Amino acid sequence: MTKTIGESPTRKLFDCLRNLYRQAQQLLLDSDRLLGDREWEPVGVTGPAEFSYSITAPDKWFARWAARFYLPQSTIEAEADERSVAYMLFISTQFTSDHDTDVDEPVVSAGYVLFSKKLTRDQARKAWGNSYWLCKSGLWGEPMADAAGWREWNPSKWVQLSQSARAFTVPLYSITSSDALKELVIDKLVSALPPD
Amino acid sequence: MTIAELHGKIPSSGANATDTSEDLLTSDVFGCLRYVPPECGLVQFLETARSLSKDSFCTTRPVIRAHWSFWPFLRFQGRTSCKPDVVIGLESNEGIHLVMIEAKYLSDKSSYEDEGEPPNDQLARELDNLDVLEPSDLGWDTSKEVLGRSLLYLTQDASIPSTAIQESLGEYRRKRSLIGVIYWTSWRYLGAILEEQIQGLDEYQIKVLDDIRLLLERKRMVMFGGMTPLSTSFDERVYTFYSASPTRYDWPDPSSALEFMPTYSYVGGAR
Repeated sequence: MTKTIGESPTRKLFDCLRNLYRQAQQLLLDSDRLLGDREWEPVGVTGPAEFSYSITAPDKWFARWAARFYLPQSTIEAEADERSVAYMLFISTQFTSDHDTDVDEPVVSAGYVLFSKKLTRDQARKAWGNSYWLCKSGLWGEPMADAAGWREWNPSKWVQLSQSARAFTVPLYSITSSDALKELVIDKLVSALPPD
Repeated sequence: MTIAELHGKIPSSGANATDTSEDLLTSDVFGCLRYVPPECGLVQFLETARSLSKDSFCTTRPVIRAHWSFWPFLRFQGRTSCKPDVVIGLESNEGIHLVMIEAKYLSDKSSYEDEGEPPNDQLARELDNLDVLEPSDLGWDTSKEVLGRSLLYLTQDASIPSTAIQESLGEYRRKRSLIGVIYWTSWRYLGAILEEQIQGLDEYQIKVLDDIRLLLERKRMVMFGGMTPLSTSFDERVYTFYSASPTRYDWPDPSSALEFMPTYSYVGGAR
């Protein structure tokens, strides 16, 4: 028996997943652009992480989230490693629950990691290391009394020279345009940053 | 017409003729843009570029003609030679603006700062050569005055790759004691520009621009258009296919597991 292309539920499942990931990729790249306009530069070219190749961990065979981290851009005045960094920003899409999170409807989580002292870009990159999981901060931590919708926790035990991670979440499907991304995520994030 | 092939960029082995080739992408996009008037997409796209200090690229309008050189080999006294992807001459009534384009797709700059006297970083080197470039070096038929020279770094990033640009400007400044400017724009910005420009063009020009747009879409080099929630619902049971596992695991009973039980006897023998 010949099946019509696109009919199979499994095919539909993966087509939807592909579509979701592609849109999320564009959302994160648009975050690059919007934060680039505010002189923040993405660190690296990766999106998702924490996969497993192991036969024992099928729950990690696919992306549960994808994230971008940002440091201040180098400028005409200050070359890459001369510029001091007080915090690092992140924007992430949390598609589904992970071993340490509980997600029903997917969310965008945005926030920043405050360092305990000012670092050079290179030091900040090293301090951050492989702590890409910090992008889940919007799902952890305690609500901040003085900032509605924000959560805060202290990752210093795991991330060198970090003092606190603060983040908020918004439903992923509420980001229906680039303008919505700017208004609901980027502007909210940038306006909450402490003085440099 | 595949401009890349005209310039020997597609070897007989076909090694460069893949969908990841930046030469092919450059050839497809700029080769097609050559076939429409410069004010119908090219200039608007170039004007999306900006520098590290946020200055926008601008040129004298209207541009009445565009001159093109693909992969010109530039060699000038005291400068390291270079081969930028495209040099475009934007000609207006007042003169000509030389725009050198270094296009990237999946790779980074091909060379970096070294100990030598002239700049060696790919963009710094191109900036250095652009300083002395004249239309006649490219064989262009124009005697118009050069109004300006701009280097444009074209990548698939969505935001300005400031570290890469700063490295290049740093080497150029150190070695030439000059403050250079490098503009940057993204392939991703082109699709929307072309969509706007399609209004008012004839049907053949529309086909040319539409092909570029479709290529960029195919390569997923487009900008964010908003999230759309999933419209399909999935039933977990549909994907459950391995449900008949044993409920209990036992070691086999030898007498029932083997049809013929082997028999053993000790026959002795020296070691």
